[in-house]
Amino acid sequence: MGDLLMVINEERLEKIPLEGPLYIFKSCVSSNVYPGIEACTRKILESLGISVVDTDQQTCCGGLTYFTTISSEDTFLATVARNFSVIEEIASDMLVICNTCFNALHYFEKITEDFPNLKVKVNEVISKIGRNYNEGKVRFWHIAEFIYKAKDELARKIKFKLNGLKIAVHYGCRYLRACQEVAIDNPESPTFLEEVVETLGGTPVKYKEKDLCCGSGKMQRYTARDLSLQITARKIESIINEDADLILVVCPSCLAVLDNAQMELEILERLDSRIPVLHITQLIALLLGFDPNETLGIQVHTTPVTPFIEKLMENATEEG
Amino acid sequence: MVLVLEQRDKVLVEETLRILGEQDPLACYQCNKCTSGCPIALVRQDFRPHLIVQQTRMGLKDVLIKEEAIWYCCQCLKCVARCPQKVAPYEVIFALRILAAEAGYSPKNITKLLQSFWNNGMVTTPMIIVTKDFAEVTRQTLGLPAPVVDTEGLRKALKTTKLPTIIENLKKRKKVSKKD
Repeated sequence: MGDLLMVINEERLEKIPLEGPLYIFKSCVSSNVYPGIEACTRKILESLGISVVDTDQQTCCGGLTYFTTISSEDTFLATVARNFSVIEEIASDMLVICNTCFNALHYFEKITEDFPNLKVKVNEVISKIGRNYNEGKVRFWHIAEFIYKAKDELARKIKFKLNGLKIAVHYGCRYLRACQEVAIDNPESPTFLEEVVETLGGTPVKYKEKDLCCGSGKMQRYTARDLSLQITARKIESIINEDADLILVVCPSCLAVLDNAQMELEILERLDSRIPVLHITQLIALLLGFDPNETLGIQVHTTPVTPFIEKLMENATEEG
Repeated sequence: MVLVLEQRDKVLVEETLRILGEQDPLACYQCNKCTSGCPIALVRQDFRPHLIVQQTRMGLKDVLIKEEAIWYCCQCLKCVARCPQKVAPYEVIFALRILAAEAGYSPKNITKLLQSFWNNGMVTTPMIIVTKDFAEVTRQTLGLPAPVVDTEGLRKALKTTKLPTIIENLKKRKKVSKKD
């Protein structure tokens, strides 16, 4: 049964660029709270020999405030169009390191396609600051699908193999489910991250709440903290039950919630033990041999990542 | 819930339709696939997304927009992936939240996100993160360029959108009532 659903969107996979120059789309949470994600993305691209271009003009994707319905459609559209207009000056492809950013860019493309007059309107708004956005000039790719495509090359380059360490993958809500039209895997029973884990020598863990939200619930962390914590607790308990060594996420918001909530849950006596959480870019950079503090920035995680790194190093030494 | 028929709002379906476009609440046949996969329904017995769609069809606008329930949805989009009629509760709730916010009902704690977006161009602010060992970490510590963003340009563009009014209105927010 499971195999029947394992359909990777080959057509899209084919188009994902493995050559530079690429732009890394900055996400609010990763830029300011977990900067390691962005640093690791740069190092991964460097290791693959892909050049990176940058600008200091890009702002928030506009997605969080719009999807939580606290801003308006015109605000959202203008923000995305302005960003596209900034980036199209320097690159034709960009990598997106956050599910919500990916969702925002995808949603923008979808509604401007459905309602072409919005393109005209939005260009009128950004023309006031001398900007213009050209449809389809910049293509965007999720970092997880990029890594999926580069997995074999990465597996050849890594210094440490996962050597059977048990990894629980978490897909997050806003890549597969929100962007079904373009995502490389299906939203109901995805497997592409498990494939990445296997390629890197790890053992993907099956756990009951795999498709459960991390508990971020977009604004839930702000508006209904208790509900949010209950969801997170359910998720983490289900992972700890399977004796996993690490939770692997592809979205900075999921990282923030799963990493921070564990401390709160421990204080509330809802959780007896902790489990480290890493973004996929951090795990790859770690395996490539980059420094846990200087590149991954694990010192900002509230749930210590060192137990996982120690296991990784132990295994590596045993292997000789 | 107990139905109070006087609370019916005949135009609610039309209003949600205006926001949803082709997704018609009337197409829902209450198959319950959404609720059976809903993470919030797991932890709150009184949150039943398919019933929110039903209440929308019935035009219970007052109940829906003033109560906290529509803000429980964690927007995980599982119901979107599952809905056979393409009118997932997520979409309906999204429309209801817009109607609620337009009427001045929105939960607290969200103003600062929007304010930060307006001030810094990001919903988070550039910060020095202090670790457990009292080390200070910034983007620069990890070799990243400072997050200088062109906030002036962004604000200038957004001045012509609804955003400045929304920020003003959020300050005059009405209280959302708790569900029993």
